[in-house]
Amino acid sequence: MGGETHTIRREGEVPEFWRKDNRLGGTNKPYKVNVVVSDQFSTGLKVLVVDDDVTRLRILEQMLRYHVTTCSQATIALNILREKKDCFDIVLSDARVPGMIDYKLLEHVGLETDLPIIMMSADGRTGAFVRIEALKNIWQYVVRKITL
Amino acid sequence: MERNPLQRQVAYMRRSLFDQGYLDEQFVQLEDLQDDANPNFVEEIVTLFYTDSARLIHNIEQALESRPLDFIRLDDYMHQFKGSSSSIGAKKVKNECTQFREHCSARSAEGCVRTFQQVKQEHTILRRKLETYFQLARQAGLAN
Repeated sequence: MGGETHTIRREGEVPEFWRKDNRLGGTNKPYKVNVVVSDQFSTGLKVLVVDDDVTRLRILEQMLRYHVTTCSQATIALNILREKKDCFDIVLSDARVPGMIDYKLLEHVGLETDLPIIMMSADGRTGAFVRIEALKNIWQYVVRKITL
Repeated sequence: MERNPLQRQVAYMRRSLFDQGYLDEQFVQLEDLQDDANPNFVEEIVTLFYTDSARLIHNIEQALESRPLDFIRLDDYMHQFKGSSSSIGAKKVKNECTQFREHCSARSAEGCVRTFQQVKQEHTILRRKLETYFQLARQAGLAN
């Protein structure tokens, strides 16, 4: 029980990335998680999120809080990336996005750009839902990698 | 923290939703994302889900009418629906979706038809409960 703290420590800064309290049925007001992003991150990181589920897309948009562009079709995503090559730092995509079969988007992005791409779901059997906790862990890892 | 009776009621209702298995941890994650800039984020997401899921339900209903049943297509639709439901923490709905997909795997038409009714039922029950919950929360907030 109790709080969970994930922090990214950078020189001269103590940013709190997120904190989660595991209490259930607690206060009337939801417990606020401050996704405090250091200035360097918020100005520097531009994300293209590709997912055909509008609910998930909105959740990710809220979650990431960076400069986020959302997109529900893989072909559109690819066009965006081709037109605006330098406008994104990272691509976040659901593995099953309409317009492409499975990992084609990953393949194209890999071949045509040097953008890191995170695939959010595995195959059909596990279910393509956003596991925010898992995503946060991945994100922390990615942000570390990008900024190191 | 002193709470007025309405706030206590809201907290109690919220607790019940978790205790009775309607919602899971994912819902808490959504609550965590709510902030001053988006004070109604959770309700926004739930509304978005219910609007969007109507489309998926319609697709499944249509697919269930074709003969012979296309189990692959049904499974694909349900995969999407399950994913969406999971995003809002709809635990019971998600579980029924899993059942449905098992019947798809087993190529059981009767199983699919039957479990889909249960999926829809849980889907509706949760919507009503959440509508009540959000309404109550709003009243409690105003009463502050």
